Amino acid sequence: MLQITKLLTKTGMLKTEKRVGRKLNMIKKNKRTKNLLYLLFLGTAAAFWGCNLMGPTIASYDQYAYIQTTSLKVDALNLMDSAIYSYQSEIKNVATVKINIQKLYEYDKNRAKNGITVKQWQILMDTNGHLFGGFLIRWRNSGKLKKAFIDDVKAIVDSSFSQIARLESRKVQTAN
Amino acid sequence: MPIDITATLNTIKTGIISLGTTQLKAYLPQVQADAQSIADAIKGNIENWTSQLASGEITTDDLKFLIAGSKEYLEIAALTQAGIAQIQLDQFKQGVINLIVKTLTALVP
Repeated sequence: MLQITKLLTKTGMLKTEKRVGRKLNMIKKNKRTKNLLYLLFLGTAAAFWGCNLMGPTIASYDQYAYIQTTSLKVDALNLMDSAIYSYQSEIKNVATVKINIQKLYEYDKNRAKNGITVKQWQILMDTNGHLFGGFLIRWRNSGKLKKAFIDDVKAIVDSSFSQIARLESRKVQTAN
Repeated sequence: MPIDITATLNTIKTGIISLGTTQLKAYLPQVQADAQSIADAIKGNIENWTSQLASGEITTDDLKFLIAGSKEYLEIAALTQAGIAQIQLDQFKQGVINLIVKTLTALVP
């Protein structure tokens, strides 16, 4: 064994083997270090994520908003039924419903990360549009409206309100 | 006891893939069902309005208003879907965090 070692040392092969062996150990240690660092990074990233630095992208569920949305849907659809009468005769009811929707819109506008719901309200209430806001303008301009047309628009407005309520109901509830 | 880092990373990776697959499987049929329901409603409306126009129950202007209203409704419905997708993503992110924390915690003796 000693003679073989002497021979290998003479030819330089043992040195090479030791060098290769040292290099292999270094690579293994580096890989372990890399994996350890990667794990540490994952753990830190998870901690930051959990601390809301990369938090939720949408508002959490709000019970008041949901209840108000469903309640205002009923008020809005009832008001639309009154469009068979003159706009002037229903002007107080129109104002009440509009103010209540406006209040909810302001409430939703001030909730963090609630941009999508806010946009939905804007479309629904747009007086230049053809949903609830646009319907009120048409009613005002026409005096009164025909039942068939009212029922048709009601169906679309009903579905629009339901979409807003649906999104709210799907938002995640946070623990209080 | 030495930590098997490779095995730990594989556990995390497999867990994330499984989480994503499960959530996507639950979410996609829902999106398809919603899309179908909206398409059916619009088809029904158009048939109804055409018949009402023919019978004089509504005017051409009324029909234009209704069609424009339908488009705006579709915008609202699309926003709902976008919101639901964000909710799904948030839930996926939270699932990943929980998985990583749970796996790393299990390493501590």
